[in-house]
Amino acid sequence: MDALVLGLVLGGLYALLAQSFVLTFITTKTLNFAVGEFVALGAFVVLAVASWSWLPDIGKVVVGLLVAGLIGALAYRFLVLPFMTEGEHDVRWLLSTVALSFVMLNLITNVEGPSPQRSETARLGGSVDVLGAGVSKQQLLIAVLAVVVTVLLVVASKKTPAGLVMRAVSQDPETTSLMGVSPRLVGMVTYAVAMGIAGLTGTLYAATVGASPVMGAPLLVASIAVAVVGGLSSLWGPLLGGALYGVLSEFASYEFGAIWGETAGLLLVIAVLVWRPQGLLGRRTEVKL
Amino acid sequence: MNSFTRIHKRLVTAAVAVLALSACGGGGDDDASGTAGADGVITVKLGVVGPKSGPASLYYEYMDQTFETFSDDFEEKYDVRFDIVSEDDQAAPEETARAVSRLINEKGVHALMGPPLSGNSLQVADVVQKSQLPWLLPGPNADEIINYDVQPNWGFMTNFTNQQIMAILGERLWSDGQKVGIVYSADGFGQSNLEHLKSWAEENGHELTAEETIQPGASDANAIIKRFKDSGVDSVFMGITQGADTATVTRAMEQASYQPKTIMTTGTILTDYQDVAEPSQWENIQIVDPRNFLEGGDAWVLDQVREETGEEPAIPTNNISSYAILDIYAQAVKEVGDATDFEAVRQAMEDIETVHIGDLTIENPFTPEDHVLYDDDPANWLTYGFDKNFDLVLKGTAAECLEKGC
Repeated sequence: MDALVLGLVLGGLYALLAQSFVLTFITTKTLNFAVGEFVALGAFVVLAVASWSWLPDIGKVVVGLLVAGLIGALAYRFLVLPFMTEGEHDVRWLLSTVALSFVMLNLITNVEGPSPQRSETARLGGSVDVLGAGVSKQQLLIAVLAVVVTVLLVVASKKTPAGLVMRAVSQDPETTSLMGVSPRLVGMVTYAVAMGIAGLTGTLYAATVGASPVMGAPLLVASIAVAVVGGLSSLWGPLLGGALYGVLSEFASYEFGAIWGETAGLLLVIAVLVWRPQGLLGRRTEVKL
Repeated sequence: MNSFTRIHKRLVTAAVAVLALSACGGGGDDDASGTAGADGVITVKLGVVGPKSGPASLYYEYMDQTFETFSDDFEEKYDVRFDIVSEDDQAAPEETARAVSRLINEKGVHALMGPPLSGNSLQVADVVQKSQLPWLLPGPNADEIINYDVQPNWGFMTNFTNQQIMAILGERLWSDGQKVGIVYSADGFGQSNLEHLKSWAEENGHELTAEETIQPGASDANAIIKRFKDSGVDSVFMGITQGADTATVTRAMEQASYQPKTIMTTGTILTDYQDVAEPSQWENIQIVDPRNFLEGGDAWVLDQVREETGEEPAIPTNNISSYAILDIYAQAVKEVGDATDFEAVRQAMEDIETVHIGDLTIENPFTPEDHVLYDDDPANWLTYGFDKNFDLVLKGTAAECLEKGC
């Protein structure tokens, strides 16, 4: 039972971050490999405004989210968009986002130093008993937030005009642009939301592990794995992927040792890629030739 | 070509230039001949390799702090000036190999200091040994770095080794028939800790009940603690490189209400732990170390670093070790009078009679089969706990704690 509960909670952390990948992939067919650094960026921005006593914690979290979102939108405009102009086989954005990751990592390290810094903003101390397992309140908050964010994104994509535009651009950007919608703008907004979520994850995660330049890196592999397992084209995917990845890796860690946890999760990714390359909830795209 | 593309090209060129410059080494002085100049001072070209940038940069910073704080002292005491030629290895093994090769073959350094991490040092050990340059190792703990089968040996370590700490800790961990578990970081330091704990246990008729590894930056250690609990482990040793990862383990202990009777670790907890842990998580942790952080010469080194740099010592244990190795090397160069006579300098280091760390002196630390500054006599090691502010509290010597408990 412990493995199940703690796995679901851990999966929530990965699922929240995996939404960053899913969002950008659905709309722009790109992935930002600097997501880990946006996690750190969000955490450090919140740390920078932590001394603003006039602003409640929720406001500080929003500042972190907005700054990460703004930088994310700019990253799309200047480091992704120019490198995907040659059609769907143009994947130069892959290199430019990796380069962005290195630049951001070095910038943050030079400004803030390599050591973790305590972050008290939006911090819930202590743990609670969930079905007999001791769960950190902070981790539980992140897991609950993963569900809330996912539901909000699904509702927004299906029930709002903005969501309709987003889905239209994801399916046929050229036709959508003929109807007066700017795929470029939609891409920027999507990147802003996705990187805002990454920044939010960073803020909440930093309250547990401290804010450090490399804090996002260990989450990156698991989050991509979760997004792939759930399906990069499904907003529900990260929740399912996170639950499966988290529970499986915790179970393997409990049974065979910590070293097997991540390995088991990655074996799950391989199995899913063989069985359903589009992910468990992803939709297969048929192309007429 | 439109202006946007031109701007892009300029940005890319600038970025490449910046990256290229950052990859280059720093320092270097044409006057660093290794022999006495007109002022009677011997300027030594000291190659220093370590992670100047990246997440592990604290492991370079402690060396930097030591140079900044004590260079003038060494010049005054021994008429030896250090001209630092540094290379950034970013703690990446492949970069370490390149950096060491550059320092030895291109920069022509008179001695090599670093790399500070055990795994990286292990990787270049053969190369440095073959280069026949004095190798100053204030940081690493892995015994395997120095292979005494190869003589003469060029490496000198001024940190304790993992074999030594296990000799000190073994009895304590297994006292009263306790079941022992180790959680170790997935790197050279952690692996060396595991191997030496296991071999100490084997040699002394004990058995390690559980062994678990933690990846750097792991998001939780719940499974590790659960396995310890299920195995009945009541004595835990944490051989973890980063204090932040140690915090992940102690956080999981608290979360699972797991309270082993004994929790021991090393001085690595002094770095990065306090900022991400709570007093309730460190109240039962103890460390052992051959250095006295609270008074005497070791404490003087730390105070001097604080005063001179205005910063906290980056890694207190290694700040002291760096001072010690520079004292040893500077004495040897002064005695030989020529830093380029490498074999004579090496021999002088091996034969050194007294190492000075402030007012602390260590007599005759080295022999051809022992290039490690400290010994493994429990009477010479100290046991520390922590108060609620994470200030060290001296519990007694390791021998005393073994005898009457701490």
